[in-house]
Amino acid sequence: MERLPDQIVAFMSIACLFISGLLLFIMQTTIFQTMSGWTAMLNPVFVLFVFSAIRMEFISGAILTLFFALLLDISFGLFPGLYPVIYLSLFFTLRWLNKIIVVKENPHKIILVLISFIFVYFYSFIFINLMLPDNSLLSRSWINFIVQLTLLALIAVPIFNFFEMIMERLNSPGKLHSWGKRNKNNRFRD
Amino acid sequence: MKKKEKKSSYLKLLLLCGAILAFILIITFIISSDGKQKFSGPKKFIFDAVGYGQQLATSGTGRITDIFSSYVDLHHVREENIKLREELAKFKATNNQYLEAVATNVRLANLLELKESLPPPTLTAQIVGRDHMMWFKTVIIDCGSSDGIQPGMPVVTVEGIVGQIINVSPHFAKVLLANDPTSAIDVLIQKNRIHGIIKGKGTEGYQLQYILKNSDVEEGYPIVTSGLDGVFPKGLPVGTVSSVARNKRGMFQKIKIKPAVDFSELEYLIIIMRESPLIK
Repeated sequence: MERLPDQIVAFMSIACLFISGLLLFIMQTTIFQTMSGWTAMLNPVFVLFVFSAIRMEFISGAILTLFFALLLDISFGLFPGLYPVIYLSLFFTLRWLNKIIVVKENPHKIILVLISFIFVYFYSFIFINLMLPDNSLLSRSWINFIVQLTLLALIAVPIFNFFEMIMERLNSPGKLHSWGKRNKNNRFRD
Repeated sequence: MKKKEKKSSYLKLLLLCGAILAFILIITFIISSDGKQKFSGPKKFIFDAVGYGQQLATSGTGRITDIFSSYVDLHHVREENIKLREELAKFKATNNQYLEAVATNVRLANLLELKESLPPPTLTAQIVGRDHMMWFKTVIIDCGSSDGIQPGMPVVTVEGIVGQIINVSPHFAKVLLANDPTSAIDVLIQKNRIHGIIKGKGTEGYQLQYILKNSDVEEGYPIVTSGLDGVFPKGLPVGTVSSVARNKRGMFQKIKIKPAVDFSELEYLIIIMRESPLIK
C-alpha cells in the first residue's frame, strides 16, 4: 500500500492527537473531578505534553504544546501567558534531553514524564510566587505532589502507548485497516 | 574557515532562540491583548467551545449518577413526600409573613430615601469544569455575558461566599474561588466588629490578616463580609475562626479561618447580579 505524503500524515497526527487530548482534557476537568479525591489528581493531558516534545516533529509538537498550554491558560489560568511560557520551555528542554538520552523504552518514558512534572511544578511555583501581589509564599502540599507524581508514573506508559499507537497507525497506512490486531513487530528500538 | 563556521552556527542558534522568544511573546500578546479582565475574540471562542464539551460531560455524568441515586432513593420517597407536604404548608404560611415584612421594609426604606431598598437579583449556575492543576482555584460555570454576568460579580451559596467572576465569554464564566492565593476579601469579625482581610490559602482555607495582637479573637468566632471591598454585600457568612496564634514578633495575630463553604462539594452557585464599582 502506498505511503501518504508527509504533510498529510503530520496534519492527521496533529488532528488525532488534538481530538484525543481535548477529550482527555474534558474528562480531566469534569468526570475525574466529580469522582473520589485521588481521581481529581489524574493528569493525562500532561503525558501529551511530554509525548509531543519527544515523539513528534518539531513544528507539529510545538503547535500541539502551544494549543494545550493556551487551553489551560484560558480555562483556568490567572496570569495570561504563564502556561504557554512554562510548557514551551518544557518542550524545548525535553527535545534537548531526548537527543542526549539514547534508550527509548518504557522506563525512559516514565522517568521523562516524572522529570517533566517536577520541572513544571517548580517552574510554576517560582513564577507564580514572583507574580503574587504580596510577599506571602504559595501554600503547597507535598502529599498532593507525591500523589500526583505516583499517579503520573502509573498512567504514563498506557497513555504514551496509546498516543504512540495512533502515530504508528497513521505513519503506516496498511495498519489503518488492522485496528485492534496485535502488533508483532520488534519495537525494541524506535 | 573554522572560525567562520563557528560564527555562523552561533548566529543560527541565536536567531533560533530569538525567533522562539518572539513567537512566544507575539502569541502571548495577541491572546492577552485585552487585559486580564476581558477575554479577546479567540479566547472567548476557545473558552466557549471547551465549555460546551465540559457541559456535555458534566450533564452526562450527572444523568448517570441521577439514574443510580433515584433508584436508591425510590424506597424512601413516600415517607419523605408526606413530610415535605407538611413542611411546605408551614413554609407557605411563614413566606406570607415574610412577604408582608419585605413590603413594609421597602415602604419604610423609600420613606427614609435609602438607595438600595431591594437586594440585587440573583442567578443560579452549575459548575461545568474544575481546575485540575494545584496552583489556582478556579471553576467554570454555565452562565456567561449573554445571561448578564460581568467580571467582578460576587458568587455565593446558601452556606456563604464562594468567590467572584473574573472572565466571561457569551455562555460561560470563570470564577475565582475565595481560597485562591490571589483572592483577598474585606471581612468583619461578627462578634466585635473588627475589620480584617482574608486571603486564600488553598486547601487550608483562609488566613485572616491585619488583626492586632490586642484584639479579642477566639476559636469559633464567625466571620462575615464587611461590604467595603465593593464586591461582596455586607453580612455574608465567610467562615469561622479555627486557630489563633500570637507570635512574640510582629504586630498582628496569625488567624486561620475554616471556610463556611466546602469547596470540594460545590455544584450549584448563586451569582449576585451586582456590578462591581472596581471593575468600572
